[in-house]
Amino acid sequence: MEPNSRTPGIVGTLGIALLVLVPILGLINAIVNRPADPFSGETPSLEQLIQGARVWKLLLHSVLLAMVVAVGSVMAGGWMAWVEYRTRFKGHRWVTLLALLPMAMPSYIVAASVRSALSPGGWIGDALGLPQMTGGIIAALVLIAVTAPLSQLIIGAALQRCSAAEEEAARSLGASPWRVFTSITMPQLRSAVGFSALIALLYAISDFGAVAVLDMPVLTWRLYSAVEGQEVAKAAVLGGVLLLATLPLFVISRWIRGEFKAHNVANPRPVVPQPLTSLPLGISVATLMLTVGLGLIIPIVTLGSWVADGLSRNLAFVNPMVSVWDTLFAAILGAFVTLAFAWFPAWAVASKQRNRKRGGLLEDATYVTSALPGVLLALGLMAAALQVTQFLPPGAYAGLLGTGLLLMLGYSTRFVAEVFAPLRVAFLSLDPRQDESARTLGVSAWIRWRKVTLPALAPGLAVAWVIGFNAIVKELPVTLLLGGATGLRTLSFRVWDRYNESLWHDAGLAGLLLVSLALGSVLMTLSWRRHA
Amino acid sequence: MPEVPLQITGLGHQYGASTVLENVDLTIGNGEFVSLLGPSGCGKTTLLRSIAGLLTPTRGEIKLSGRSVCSDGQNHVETERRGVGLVFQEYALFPHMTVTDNVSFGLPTMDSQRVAEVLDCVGMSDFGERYPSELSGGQQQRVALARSLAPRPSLLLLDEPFANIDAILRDSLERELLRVVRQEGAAVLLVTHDQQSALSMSDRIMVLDEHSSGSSVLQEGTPAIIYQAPATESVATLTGECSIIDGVANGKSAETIVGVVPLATDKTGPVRIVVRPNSMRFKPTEGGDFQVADIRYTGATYRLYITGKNEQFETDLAGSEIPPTIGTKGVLEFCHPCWAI
Repeated sequence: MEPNSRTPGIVGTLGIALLVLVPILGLINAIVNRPADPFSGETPSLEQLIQGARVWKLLLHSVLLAMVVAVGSVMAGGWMAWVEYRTRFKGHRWVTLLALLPMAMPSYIVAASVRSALSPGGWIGDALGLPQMTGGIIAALVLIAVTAPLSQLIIGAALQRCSAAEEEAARSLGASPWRVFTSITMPQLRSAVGFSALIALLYAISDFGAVAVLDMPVLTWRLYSAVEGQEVAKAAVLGGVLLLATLPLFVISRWIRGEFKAHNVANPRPVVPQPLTSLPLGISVATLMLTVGLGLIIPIVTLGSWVADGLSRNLAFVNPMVSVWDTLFAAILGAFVTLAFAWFPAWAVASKQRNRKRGGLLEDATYVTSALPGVLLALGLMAAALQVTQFLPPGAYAGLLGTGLLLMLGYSTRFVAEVFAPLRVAFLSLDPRQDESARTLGVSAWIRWRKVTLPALAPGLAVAWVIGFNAIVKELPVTLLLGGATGLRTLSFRVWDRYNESLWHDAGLAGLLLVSLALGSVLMTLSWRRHA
Repeated sequence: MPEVPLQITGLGHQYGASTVLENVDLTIGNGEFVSLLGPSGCGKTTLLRSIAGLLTPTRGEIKLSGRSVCSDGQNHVETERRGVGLVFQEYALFPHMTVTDNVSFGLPTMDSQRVAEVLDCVGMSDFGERYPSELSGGQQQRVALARSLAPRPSLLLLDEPFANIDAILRDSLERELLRVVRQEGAAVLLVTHDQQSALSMSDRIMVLDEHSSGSSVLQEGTPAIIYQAPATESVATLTGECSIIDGVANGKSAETIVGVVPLATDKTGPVRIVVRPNSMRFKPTEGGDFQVADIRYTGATYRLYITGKNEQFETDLAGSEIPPTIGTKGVLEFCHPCWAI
């Protein structure tokens, strides 16, 4: 990496600007140039649209749900992180790995299977005599189950960085275990806790699959319904409010990332893990029942039971292999395109940070993309495409959607931040002295790149690609809204479509295949994490 | 009469099947500075952590100021109630707290006067509002020392506190540490593998070494005794550079391959003789049995590496003198009596 090269910064900035600005400008344009009502012929005012759509109530629901999920996710994930790094017991490794697996589960599959299993007529609902499982509480529990593993990873990484020496020093100065936790450990975890709360908050406020399945009226679901119903003006206003609701999170994330870097300890000595005693054991079992039970076991058993039911009744199954190939095609290509968008920003930001500078606007803008909910992003891209193609011959809009260009742009915008993070670390860990010593040996730039830089980058590159692949395999709103016209029938598309048609056996089979793909890639990433 | 700050009897510890400490006895008196010297991995830190209560030793008893805090594999008193100060090799300052907050952490209530007193004592009065990341290694170590001294512990444990500090700064910090602990009146147990630190700072040194059945104490005594009269070859090599040669003693001298060597004590029969660099000098002589194999200039002295008669020796020459060239032949003359084991 040339230390003073400005090319990565310029290319990276242009790429990220494209990803951020196209959907946002498309959305703003749709709000400003709202189409007239087809019946009255009048353009509705913003006030009318806001009142008609009961936007404030939806916003309140979205924010409340996101806050409950954030708190629950941090508590469950934080506890499991503690169990992972501060305790030891027989089977510890497998239990803590199991606790991470629900992150492979798409929220809409968990929601659909939990609703089916726990409601009357379901395999658990009947046994326990439970009422219909819909609404805010069950939606919150489902979202906590799938986001808690992310909190476990983030808080766990911070726990790993805490040095035993500081806690031991505090104890030697007379601090009780509780005071050591509150005064020494917790302040060092604060930014990680804040960061995981933010991730859970973003996940919950962006999610639309789980809330739609569980009948929880929130902004994303109503936005999707408005787009599906071609209520463009209403969709634009809902999208605008959703964008405003997520904006404060950008500021918070910027502040938290700054804090996150400040308290790193070089080569910390790990704390010696302790055996798990009865009360913590009880809390761990309860946490695992929520995360693994709700987020992994119930969905897999339920999906299996749907398939078994279809087989026992000799129902015809749609050939799932078509969806598997479509999923692999979309996810492999999408991961490469996302990687390409993340490449130059990661290179440029790492170069800056190596010189002890802040990542600056480019890094902030890259993270901003992660806060754009999928439905909003798809709407913004569709609005921008409409705006551009109105000057082209008729059919150009449908043609553009059919190329899959918008789908790939949607995936890249949605996941560029997730791919950027490991890639930046990979660039940052490159040792410039290796390249310098190769230069002194008279090796050409291309050979240096191929034989020195690329092998060093390869592990980080692979992790980044797998993260992108996994995210695209599970993705729903962008796939539904931008992928439909491409003719691709991915597994997520199939699950949603078949579930809404009440063809459970097909939904179950597609769901099981999707979960297998996602679990496989998550396990691969986790095994790399253990070896790293 | 006040109880001694530390009394250890028959201490032993095992990690699984592997024994790291075996039957260690140690007593430290009020205001005494004791160093535990030994190679890496010999169990020094295990012993220190046992005293601090961060580890429960398998056997033996530890008494702090007359109170049994641990015996027969049971901890009776938790770390936080032992009242010992502990300074870590990696400083272990709390990164999210200012220097003042770090130093006041161990005080029951905020005592600005005491904080100011210890910060002044370590020369860090002007740094109270700084964060650890804004301090150099030496400054961080001073704050760590101030923090552990603030609660007025009767015993201060130092775990290789100067390992991450360069030689020049280490020397000044060592002198400062001695001044501060004497001023505070605390007894000190220093764990180190650096014989120079142990010899220059301690009232007493305990040498620990590893053997097949775990580490145990090889010798205990004043720095001069440990250096000049090592009980074993291990102690001799751990406490400084030396050559060890075979000889046959006959009273105050011994016949060796290099000639007659004066001995510090009366001995008879076969002996192993510890030859320190300062006990002999090299005298260039035509046709001598020894020759200069290498020379290293250290500023104050030249260190000459001498070979001959299948033995190797090191000896010093004042830096102001003109050194011989490599390959110069000569003889070895003993100017001080040597210690025979």
